[in-house]
Parts: sequence; C-alpha cells; structure tokens
Amino acid sequence: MSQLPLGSLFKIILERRSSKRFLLGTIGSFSFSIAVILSTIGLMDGFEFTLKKALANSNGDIKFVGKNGFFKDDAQLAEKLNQDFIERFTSILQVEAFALAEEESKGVLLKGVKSEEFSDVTGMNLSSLKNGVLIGSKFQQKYDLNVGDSIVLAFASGKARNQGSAILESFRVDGVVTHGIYEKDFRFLYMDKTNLEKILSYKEGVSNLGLIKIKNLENLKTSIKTLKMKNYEDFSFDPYWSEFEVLLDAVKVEKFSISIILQLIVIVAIINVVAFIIFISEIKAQDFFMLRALGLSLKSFQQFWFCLLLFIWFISCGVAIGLVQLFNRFILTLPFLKIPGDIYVLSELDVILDYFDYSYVFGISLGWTLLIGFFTMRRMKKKSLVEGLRQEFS
Amino acid sequence: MFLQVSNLKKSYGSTEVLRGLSFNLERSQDLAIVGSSGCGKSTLLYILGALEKPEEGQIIINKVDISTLNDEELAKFRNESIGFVFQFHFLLPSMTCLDNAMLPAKIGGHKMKDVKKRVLNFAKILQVEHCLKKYPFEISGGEQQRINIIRAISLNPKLILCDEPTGNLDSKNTSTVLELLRSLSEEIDSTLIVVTHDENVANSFHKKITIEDGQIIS
Repeated sequence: MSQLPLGSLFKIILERRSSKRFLLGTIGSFSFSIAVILSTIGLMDGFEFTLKKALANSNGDIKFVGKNGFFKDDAQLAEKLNQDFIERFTSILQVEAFALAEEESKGVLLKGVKSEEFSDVTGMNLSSLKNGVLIGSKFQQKYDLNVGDSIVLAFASGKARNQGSAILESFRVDGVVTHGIYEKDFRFLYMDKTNLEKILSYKEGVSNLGLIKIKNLENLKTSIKTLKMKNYEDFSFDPYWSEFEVLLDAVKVEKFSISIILQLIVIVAIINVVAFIIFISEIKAQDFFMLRALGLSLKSFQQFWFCLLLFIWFISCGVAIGLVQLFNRFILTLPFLKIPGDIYVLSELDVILDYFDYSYVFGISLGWTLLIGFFTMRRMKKKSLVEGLRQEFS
Repeated sequence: MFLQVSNLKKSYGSTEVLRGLSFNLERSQDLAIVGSSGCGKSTLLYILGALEKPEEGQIIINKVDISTLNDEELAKFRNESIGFVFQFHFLLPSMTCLDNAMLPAKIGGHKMKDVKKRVLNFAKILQVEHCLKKYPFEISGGEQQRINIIRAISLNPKLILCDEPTGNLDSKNTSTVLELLRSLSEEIDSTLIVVTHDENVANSFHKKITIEDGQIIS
C-alpha cells in the first residue's frame, strides 16, 4: 500500500484557491441540507417529547375513569388498585365551569384535587393551593389576574331541584400553574377537592377521574394491561398521552414522510458533491495519472478518494450539528420564530434529537455519499492509465 | 537475459497496434526504439513500463513476468523497478522540486533518508541543487526536465524508460540530456530504453529497433 500521506494528496487537490472555495461551498450546502432534515425531525421529536412531558406533568403515568361515570375514593378503590408496581394514586373530581373575569366568561375545566397526593403523582407543585383556586399561566395572562385577585366561577348545580340555575362562587387566586400545554394553561383551574364536593353538594370521596404514578415508567404498557385485566368491569385505564394519541400518531407518520421527502434536498447537495468531484478529477487529472504512473496503485487511489468523500461527509455532519444548535437557539429566542402555541398545543417547542435521529440522517447522507463515490470511481476506472496519460499529456 | 519480450500483441478497438513483437536485451545495454508516429513505439514503452497490459505475449524483466501481475503488484513494480522520463516533464505544482523528486519514494514507502541523499547527489551531478527548494513554476524548462530525470532515477530503477525525452529540446540540449541519461544509468547500473523518432539520437545507442505497423522491421 502507498505510504504517500493523505495530507500530500489533499494538498495536491486543494492547491488552487478555486478548489478550496468549491470545497467550502460543497460542505456548506451538504451540511445545510443535513441540518434542514435534522431540524425538521428534531422539531417533530421535540413536539412529541415536550407534549408527552407536559401531559405526564398533569396526568401522572396512567389515567383511569369509571366505566359508570362517578366512582368513590374509598378503601374498596385502594384494594382494587393495590398493585406492586403502583407508587401512588389520586382521585379527582373535575367539572366544567365558567370563569367570569374582566366582564367576560370563559369555559374552564375545574379540577378538585387533593393537592399533596396530586403533586406526588404528577410532579406539579400545587403547594400554594389553599381555599381558593389555582389558574393556568395563559389564563392569567389573558385576564391579567394576579395572586390575591378574585375570580367568580359559575357551576351547574349538582342537585336535581336546582336544575337550570347556576351556582356562582367567588374565589381568591391562590397561585398560577404552568402545564406546558397551551390548552391546559388556558382552561385548567384547580381547587381543593373537598371544597368542590361541598359546593356541588356531592358526597365525600366522589370522583370521576383518577391518576396513577407507577414505580417504573418502562413497564407502562404491562402495568396498564394488568390493571385492565383486574378491573375491566369498573374502570378503563389509558396512558398519560392518550388524549393526544391521534396527534402523536400523526406526528410519527409525518416525521417519516417528511424525512423521505427531504431526501430531495440531500440529493441536491449531493449533486454539488458530484460537481466538486468532477471539477477535481478534471483539473487534477494530470496529477492523478502521474501519481499512478509513479506507482500509486488504483487501490490506494480508491482509498484516498473515499477518504476525501468521508472527509466531506464528516465535516458536513459536524457543521450540520452546529447549524441545528443555532436554529434551536433562534426558535427559543427570536420572537418571529416562536411557534404559535394555540395552534401547536404547546407553549414552547425545542429541537430534540436522539441517537437514532442522528444515525438515521447521517447514515442516509453517508449512503448517498458512498454511492456517488462508487459511481465516480467506476467512471475513473474505465479510463486506463495510458489513455489518461496520453489524453492529459498530449 | 535482463529483458525478454516475446510475441507481444496489443490492439485498441479494431486497430492492431503491436503485432507479435519479440526482442531481448542484456542488462546495462542501451536501446533506442524508432519509428514513425503511430507505429506503436510508445505503446511498447508503456507496456514495458507496466502502465499497460498486453493482450498476448510475455514480458520478463529481471526474471519477473510482468504480464502475470495484478494492478497492485504492477504499481509496486512500477514504483521500484521502473523509472519513467516523459516527454512533458510534468512536475506537481503544489510541491517543491525536492518533494517532486522524492514522490516515488513517498508513494512506495521507502527510507526517505537514503533516497534524499541520493536525490541531493543527482541534483549536484545535474547542477540543479539550487532548484530543490523552489516550486516547478519558479525554474526553467531545462531545469524542470532535469528534476524529472532525478525523479525517474531516485529509487535506482533497474529499467529507465524515456518517451521522447528530447522532443521539446534544441540539438544542444538534446545531446546534453542524452549524455546525462546515459551516464546516470551507467552509474546506477540500469538499462536505458529511449523512444525517439530522431535517427541520429537512435544511432548513438548500443542497440536500435525500428518499428513499423506494430512489427519490428530492423
């Protein structure tokens, strides 16, 4: 094998200023294409991750509802949910209500919770909840409410004799909570469950939603399966993301389709790489044939050729990672790049990429690179050494 | 016998360039190959230099049958045993003349220290020491040709092949270059084969073969 250092061959190739500029342009366009795909996939992964995280923050790990509507939070329920994999559970009484503020009314979902239990199960801090209500951050912004302000809530009466007339109650705003999901930050209000039961004249312990925190989230599917098997007559159990399941499925499909479509951008960038290779092989043909005449084997030349392509690919991937970081910074800081939360459900979105995403995008771009390397090498092989020398030195 | 060529055939498409050439050469003998343009003399030189493979026939150089070698082996053989002097003294513009002269050694992974010593010695003989640190575009055509010769003989090849090395030179420089090639090949105990269409040049060699239509006629 040739001992000619790769550096010498690179020096030969990049001797001209035009070659250096062309190489920079090629790396620039290739890395930009890779960055576009990574950013798109990253945004979708970010959407999925942020949404799931936000859902987990307000839903715990598993949600359950009674098949007959209301259920009682008592020893019987504790018995039914007595499983090793369950760390803690909490029951909630949630009702639709109207919030009256700033001479406007807004439909809200009022959740009667046992704050300590709820915090343990979901991770949301409701410690400021006393006898008033906690409001969502978007709701607070919209109606310009502060802690200590009053808010009037209108409920449908729970008693049959009062049907048709609403219960109006004024509450102090005890605090502001953030779920990370636009809709929840706008619509969810929290109050003490016992208070709510009293206002609605419900019996103690009446609930219509339950949340469970399990010990190991990796066992989520099997835990749900076990719970369903044991309690299939009374409750239905769903994972914490179930309310957005269709959306999450759509994002997965979209992610796959878009990553396929965006390959077109990579192909355009690959055409630049091809142009660079053709440019180099034309202007440096004399050098290459001379090196081969002096004893550089075709195998060594092939190795160098693929090293050059791998170098372009490697540097492009590195630059692409930098561009993605830059893009991520921009979407978090530049106002015109911020996502509209009411459309995209979330109030903030991050580009999140895992090893699989990187491997997928880098792997495909490497595949394209090697493919063109193979074809250009085959083109070069077709020309015999003598033919090349004669053509180049005539 | 140092070089044995027997029944060498080569064609490009339907054109037969070499039609059963055979000849032998002793070690340290000079050989001039003459013939008109397109007669096949350069093709013969390229085949002897392991740059091209024949379709038929056998070439044995210093007991090595090069017609049986694969690409990798041929490249190694070219690097170690053949010194090529091209008509166009092509030197790589991105390297200094010293680096150009050392190129075969770098490609073949030889001991750089020994080769450099030899290159400096040849540069002294050919009076181009002052050019070694310069780039090819900074020196004259005659000096470039001498650097080209140093590159060809830097690894003490057993066979030096020259494709019309004096084609671009005037008569004074022609005789100087030929003398240099002869004396250097004698010094390193190499066999010199030169392709030329100049009869006067050819007559000054130990042995001369004339090719016409792909065959040796004298």
